[in-house]
Amino acid sequence: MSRGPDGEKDNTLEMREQTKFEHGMLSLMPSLRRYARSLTRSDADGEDLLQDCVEKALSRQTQWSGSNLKAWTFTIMTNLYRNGIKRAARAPLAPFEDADSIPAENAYPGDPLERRRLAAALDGLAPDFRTVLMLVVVEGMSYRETANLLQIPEGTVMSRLARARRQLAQALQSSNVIPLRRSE
Amino acid sequence: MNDKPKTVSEYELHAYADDQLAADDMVRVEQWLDAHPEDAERVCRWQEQNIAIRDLYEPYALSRSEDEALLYAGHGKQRLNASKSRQVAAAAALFILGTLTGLSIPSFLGSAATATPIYEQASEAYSLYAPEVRHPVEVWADEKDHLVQWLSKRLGTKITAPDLSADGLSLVGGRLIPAEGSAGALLMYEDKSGERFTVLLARIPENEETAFMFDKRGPIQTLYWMDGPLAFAITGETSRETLRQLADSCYRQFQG
Repeated sequence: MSRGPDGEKDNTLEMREQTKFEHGMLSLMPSLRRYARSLTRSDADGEDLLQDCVEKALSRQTQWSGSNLKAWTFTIMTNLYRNGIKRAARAPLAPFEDADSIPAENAYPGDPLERRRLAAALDGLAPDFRTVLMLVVVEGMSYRETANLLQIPEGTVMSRLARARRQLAQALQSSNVIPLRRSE
Repeated sequence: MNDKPKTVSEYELHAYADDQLAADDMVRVEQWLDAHPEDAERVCRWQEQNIAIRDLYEPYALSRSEDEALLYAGHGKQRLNASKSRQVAAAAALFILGTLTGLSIPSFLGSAATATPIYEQASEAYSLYAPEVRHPVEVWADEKDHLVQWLSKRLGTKITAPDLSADGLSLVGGRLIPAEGSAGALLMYEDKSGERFTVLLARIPENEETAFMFDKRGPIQTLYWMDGPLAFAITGETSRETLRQLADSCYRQFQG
């Protein structure tokens, strides 16, 4: 305890701030990991994106206003991801024909192949569409929050969401399921 | 109350499905949906899909033991001593290794989200090998016993080459191909006119039972399903009806 009173005080304050920040970050890790995985479509790339995001968040810690850490970190991750895809062309995205009102066939919701088809259909969405879908549906953000986070108008959030759903429906029905079988 | 609900926009339907509407808008949309069963049906599908998407990604939302280290490591301060940082590096390396080899790190969708789906593998294998004149297979049908033994051994489960003669098909032979992240058996058949069909059998990590599903890529049609330890995919440039018959024959022969 040879430190002067001033030094000690600053130190404690910094510690407290850091603890709040770190605590917040730690509790956000599962959501961030899930979001990273959904954006990158791969376990390894997802973990890389998560690490980059954490690194960036830590280095910019002083810029955090102290409120809504989730929106702040999700923005960082979204921007990192966007910059990343600009740099490197990823696996080719299968563009689906846009079509109106195609019902999604989901004959066997618990069926493991159905899950795969849905996963493949989601992976096939353009990144902008997938991002909106993930923020709204998986992260439970409001349209307004999503718009703020992505810095796009709320109307664009809604139109991307609607188009994402049309493309999913299209993708899911391009290979059909028939209710054939099983001890009939 | 008896007022007819005013028109509801497409976006409002989405917003309703996503539970994003204020209370009075919600009432208005609900009135609309009562009067418009087709829209109600669509909204219901979106809601089901929302649940399915959440379920799909839920397993990824987890904490890992290295998260804390990751946070502290980023500070570049003395909180992380040298040995701990080596641990973190080792954990990261292990994680990457695990991801690359598919070992040790459980992939929560099986190999689902990342691996090429079996219908794509089947369709690709068909378009690659079916047109082959001299080398469509590695082992020809005249060595059928050897073929079946060899493929069973590589797949790690006993398989047979289904007899499709009742459907007018004879076995050409088979080959080993990569499928579902490990070994797959590609069996080739042909009819009297020389039209070819393939049956792809792949070992899956856990026993599954699924419906039959169709996938069409250009002229190539695949019917696929999972049953017990195997995934099946029958492929040909043919009608769904024919594939369905063939699938029936295969399915029956793999029972019991």
